Amino acid sequence: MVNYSYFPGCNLKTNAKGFEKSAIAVSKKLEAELVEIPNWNCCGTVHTMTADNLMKRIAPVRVLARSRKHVEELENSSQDIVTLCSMCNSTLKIVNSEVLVDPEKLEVINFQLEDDEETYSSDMEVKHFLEILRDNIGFAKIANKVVKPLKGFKVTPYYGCMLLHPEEAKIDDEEMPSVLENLIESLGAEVVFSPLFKYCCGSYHIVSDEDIVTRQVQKIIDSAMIRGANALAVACPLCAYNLDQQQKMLMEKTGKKEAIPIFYFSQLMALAMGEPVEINHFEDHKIDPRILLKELKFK
Amino acid sequence: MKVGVYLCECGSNIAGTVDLEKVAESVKDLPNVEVSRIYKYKCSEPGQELIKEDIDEFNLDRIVVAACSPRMHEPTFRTVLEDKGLNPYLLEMVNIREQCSWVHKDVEKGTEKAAALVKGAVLKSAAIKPLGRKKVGVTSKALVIGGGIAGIQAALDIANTGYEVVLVEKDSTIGGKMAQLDKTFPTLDCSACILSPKMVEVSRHPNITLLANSEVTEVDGFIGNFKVKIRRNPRYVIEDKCTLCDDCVPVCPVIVHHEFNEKLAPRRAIYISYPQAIPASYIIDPKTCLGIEPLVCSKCKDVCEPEAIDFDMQPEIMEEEFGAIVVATGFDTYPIENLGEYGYGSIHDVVSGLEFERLISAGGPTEGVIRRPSDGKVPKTIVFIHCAGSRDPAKHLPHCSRICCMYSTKHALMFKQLDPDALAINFYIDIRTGGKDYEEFYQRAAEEENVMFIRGKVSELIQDVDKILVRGVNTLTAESVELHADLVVLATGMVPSEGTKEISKILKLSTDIIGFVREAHPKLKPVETAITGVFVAGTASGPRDIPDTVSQAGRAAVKACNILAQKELEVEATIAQVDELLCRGCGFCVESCPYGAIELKAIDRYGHSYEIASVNEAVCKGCGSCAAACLNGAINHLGYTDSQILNLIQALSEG
Repeated sequence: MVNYSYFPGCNLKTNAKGFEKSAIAVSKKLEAELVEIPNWNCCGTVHTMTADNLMKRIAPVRVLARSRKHVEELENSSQDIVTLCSMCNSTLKIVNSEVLVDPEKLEVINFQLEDDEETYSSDMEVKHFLEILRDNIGFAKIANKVVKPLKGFKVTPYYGCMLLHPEEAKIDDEEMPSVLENLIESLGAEVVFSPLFKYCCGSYHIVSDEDIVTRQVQKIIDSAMIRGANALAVACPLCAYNLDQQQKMLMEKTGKKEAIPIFYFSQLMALAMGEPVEINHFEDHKIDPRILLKELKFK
Repeated sequence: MKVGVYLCECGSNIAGTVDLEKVAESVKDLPNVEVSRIYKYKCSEPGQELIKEDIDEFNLDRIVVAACSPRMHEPTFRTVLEDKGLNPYLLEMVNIREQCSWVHKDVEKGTEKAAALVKGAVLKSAAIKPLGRKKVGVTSKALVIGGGIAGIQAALDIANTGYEVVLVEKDSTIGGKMAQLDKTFPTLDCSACILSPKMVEVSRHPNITLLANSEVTEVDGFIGNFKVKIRRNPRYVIEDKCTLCDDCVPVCPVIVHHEFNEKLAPRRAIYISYPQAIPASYIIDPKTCLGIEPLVCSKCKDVCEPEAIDFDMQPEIMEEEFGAIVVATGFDTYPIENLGEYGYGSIHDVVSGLEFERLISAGGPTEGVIRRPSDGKVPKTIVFIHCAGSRDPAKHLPHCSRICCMYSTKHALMFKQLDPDALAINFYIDIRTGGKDYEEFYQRAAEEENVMFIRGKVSELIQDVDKILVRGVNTLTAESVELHADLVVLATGMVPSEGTKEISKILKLSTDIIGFVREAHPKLKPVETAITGVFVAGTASGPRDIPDTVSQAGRAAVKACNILAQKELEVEATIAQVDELLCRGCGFCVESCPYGAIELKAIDRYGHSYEIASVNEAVCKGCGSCAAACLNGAINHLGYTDSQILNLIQALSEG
């Protein structure tokens, strides 16, 4: 059993509860448990992308520092901090590599953290849970733990932007990634390739101009459905929110009848590994995945 | 010993930063200095005369010239000494331009440095000795490696001068990439029509021995005397007997991709690359043929009336000597499989420029009708993407390949001429038309033939049912562009061919970061390489178009003939010299020599046999690596001996 210092981020505690619970459940089953960092704070999100102000890096560096402390307390742990949200992953990775190549920046940030005795020494590695699954656990072991193969599931992997960009934060080849495909196949489901696998979901436009998001989501969903998909697998809470909620909007606005459920990859794993269906919080989804489970007679 | 010191102003090049009056003043009282003079252009005829007059008047026997780099005018001043009957190595050049005036701004400090450098040279000159140049014989025969247009042209030019040439080509035929092209820009004349007469000339020329299907495996020796091993791979078809009747092809059961057609068409295991191939003979591909060990099929042999097929042919190793070598091993195109944003080569209707060249060629797999590889349909909209994988230092090639703008424009124009109602859209970063009549060609395409040009890059290509969704940007209007194309052509750039990389290793040629052969000087020695006697022509040293390749091949041929024309060659005298008494034969120098110029040889000393280092004077470049590596101080670098260098250091340390 390996213990990983796990950073949840805000979404995992609010509208992506099913993502977190299913991921923690399967991590235990795979003997690579995600253990939450005590007393964590916001990853800093988009604010860390500003180039001119180091203030904005304090939050992510504090997260890294606390994770480091956490790792020391954990038994049988590695120097990895594991994330589920692809935005958190990207933010922490970028800041971690930034302070690694520029110790002067780290010094300035550490000065702010000294009072709380939370200085950082840039010796952690930020990993997405998908990387742990692929590199540390391996798909063969995952396939071994499958008790209910996902027969009849035709899943389109959807990566969005943050898993693959920018260069220093990507977890796979940005042009033709394979980690979600391999994972889905190891669960016994069929992969349906859609060329719009990283087409923007509309992202934060959801708060200012919903129409942009609606248009993007329609293209992504149509592209998957034309190719025969009956489910979409994602790793980002914002993608999931946009794709799920906007499909409902489209149904209401245009009278569109068909929709496909959006799964977090960990929810598919939890189903295949026989975890209780309740941990997935499917009731939070606008397009209820349980309808698909029923159609496929998945129990 | 009497020393004359000459300081050159080089116009304002040196005098602008160095106060030469002060320098002249400072050297006056140095030991042995008879005379010191300042002159505006020392390299000029009157400047040289001045030295000659002083030699007569003052009986000078050491000359110190403080001017530009010795790379520029050392030969000029050595000739001055020779003219007056002095040994040319009694000259000391001081570089006070490139290494002093050009790199400094402060006159006071510049003057101080120049004075110190000149003082060093004066003191060093007390220790220099006359040196004699050695002579070596020359084999007056040239080797040309690579049978593309560069190699063909170089071979013909050398052969027409009257020297023997061996042309080695690893493919089954000569012609190279140019033979694959349909038309050539900007005149649109047919590539094969202008190339094939030269190929025929090669095959008929009495001075040219053509070795196709052969490879150079080993090169030893030095300028004038290269010893080369050539491996002749078996053709399994006797060239002289083959009548090109084609009876063998229909009976061959093996079908594989045809490389000449960029794998867009099939060929058999016995085949001829294209009708005009030289040598004009079929060939059997031993990797796929079923007749070569174990013999399970001999259908072609059964039908061959002239009995030209011989399954028992074996590879031969030839050894020959040459006076000069021309490397013309060419390029490959950057693989579209590297371009993730354009589908890693997985989208059928995204093709490379060279593939499109075969699709549009009358001799190609579709007989000149452009058809899509996926379904054979004739496309109505073609998108041409310039700089695919070029000018992209972050992910792909950093360089510009010089030909892609032109060949994409040519492709688009030819497509429009075949179908005037069709849509030909070019996405470009810049249009680079740096050649004679190139800009006019582009203007004609854009303005008369209605080829569309959009300034901007394509970010991705997506298969969308039976079309390709092209997503890009127009940077002139700052709009994103989305359109559907039936076919997309990627203008991929040039990379060194595998052959270029291999031959660079065999010949120990220095290469740039991409793997192109590095020239001895980028401007003034464009076909010379780091190895004297080895020249480079065409795209082996970097991207260039056909006109430039042909003219470069001509120059390489002239440089090779320069060597072949001489009965014997003088080699530089400032080389390594072994003190046989001090050498203990450890072999460190052998390892340190980048040119393979030192070997251990056995000598007899007091009745015992010892191994000691021996320098091949013709190969040694005088780099000094061995002198530095020698633990016993047994190797002296003539012209830079320890006593000379110590004098120099002493002068500089005194300030």
